Amino acid sequence: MRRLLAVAPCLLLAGCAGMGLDGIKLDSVATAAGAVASSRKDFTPDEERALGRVVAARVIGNYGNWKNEAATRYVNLVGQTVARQVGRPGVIWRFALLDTDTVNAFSCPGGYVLVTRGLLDACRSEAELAAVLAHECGHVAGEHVLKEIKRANLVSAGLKIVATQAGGGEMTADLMQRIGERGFDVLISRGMDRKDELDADARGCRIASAAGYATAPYGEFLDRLATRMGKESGGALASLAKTHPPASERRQRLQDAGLLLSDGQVLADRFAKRMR
Amino acid sequence: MWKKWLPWMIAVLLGVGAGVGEAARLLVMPGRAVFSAGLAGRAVVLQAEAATRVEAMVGERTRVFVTDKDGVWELSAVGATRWDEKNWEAGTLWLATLLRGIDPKAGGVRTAGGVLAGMDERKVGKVTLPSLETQRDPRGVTALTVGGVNVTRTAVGPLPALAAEAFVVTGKKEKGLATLARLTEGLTGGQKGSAGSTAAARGVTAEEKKLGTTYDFASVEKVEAMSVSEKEVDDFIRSGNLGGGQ
Repeated sequence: MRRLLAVAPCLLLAGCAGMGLDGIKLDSVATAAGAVASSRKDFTPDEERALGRVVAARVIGNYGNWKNEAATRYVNLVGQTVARQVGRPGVIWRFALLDTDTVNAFSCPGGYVLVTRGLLDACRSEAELAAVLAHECGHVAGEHVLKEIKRANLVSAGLKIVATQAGGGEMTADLMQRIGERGFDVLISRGMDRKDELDADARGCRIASAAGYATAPYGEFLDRLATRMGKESGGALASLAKTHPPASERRQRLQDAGLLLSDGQVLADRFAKRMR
Repeated sequence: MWKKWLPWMIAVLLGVGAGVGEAARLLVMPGRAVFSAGLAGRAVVLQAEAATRVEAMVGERTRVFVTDKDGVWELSAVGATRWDEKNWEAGTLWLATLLRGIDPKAGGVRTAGGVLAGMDERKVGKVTLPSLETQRDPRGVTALTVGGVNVTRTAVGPLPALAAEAFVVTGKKEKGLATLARLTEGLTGGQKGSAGSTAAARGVTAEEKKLGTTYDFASVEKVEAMSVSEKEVDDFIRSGNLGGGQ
């Protein structure tokens, strides 16, 4: 099958010429074949980062950047600690804060992780924050957002978004807007695939645990979210409820998988001190 | 009308078929482990969340493999070559068994029981090997028994700091659609040879400015400029008594 796929384009090109399909230009076939091939090819770290920069700009443009240097530094230290367990060479991890009460966090391709002020307020320990950041790192490790962008490219964007970028072309404002809006749609409007969120939860717990944090507090964090969601409708939790599976279900799945562990550090005091 | 879309339809059909696999794990959590096959050799395994590195000592020779979502790659001075479970050599069955366990694209010679099968010396047919037995504990695989060889985990611990570079795979041998992408570069006017780097803050470009305030590239620039050093992270890990949760 793989050999057939490799040879097929050549046969196709030769066949089109031989069959005398006058209206079909070989250039068009080559363009289409190249675009599909490029869209299936892996992005280089630079290409992934270029896409992530656009999506991050769109998300920060929506919420605004929380300019709290001490908190930003602390979140970066926790984030870099967990990121060491991911094993995605070439990804430059960057952690930034969003100025909104909304409780949520977002991961963009290329290692941009954005955390809301509302989410930091909802955490009670460094272990909880670490698990949240590790969950976002899990999305990057699984290339979940990147996969959505690729999928959109194949289905609705005429194959050209990824092909242009993957081929090394300069991104125009129009192209960036299409990428940014797709990323915004995935991250904020409708959310990622449900299985990707559950996958990121499992990855996040493995990553946080390997970094030395207890993951049981993440279960408590999800419990508190579930309780709040039961009492509040809309408001700060509306975005999270819309874009993620129910918190109670996420907690149960992690519990069933044996990924909520008490071994490791909780560091509630350090969190309180740094976030004061 | 159909002539306009036919090339794209054909090209889409050609693109169908590639899938991304999910690698199995030797350790439940990211970490480092040593597996010994007695006199046959030993392997040091560094397992991160998204990649695994296996340094195998076979006789006097050290072979290095890294797995990512595309498969298992053997690293050498001249680049990375895709490892294929069908090409295991006599005497390295234990290594093939380890590698197959972490290969997301494993799909070579296989028996009904999920056990590696090999070609006999006369290449007249498949030879079914004795059953593979796997033992596990909460940390992951502890022992494999295959073909009369026992592979035992002798040590397990946290992933060493700064291990990310251990998972770098460069110079992958191209195949299939990737080759097609390379060959068609230059046939079309819209594709150029290489992508620009955005590894560091670079300034907001003219095209980015066209997007207006909905896209806050100025803040992204500040995010890219903000960094913490490796030493700061090391100190942070030490002060929190972190660095390994196994």
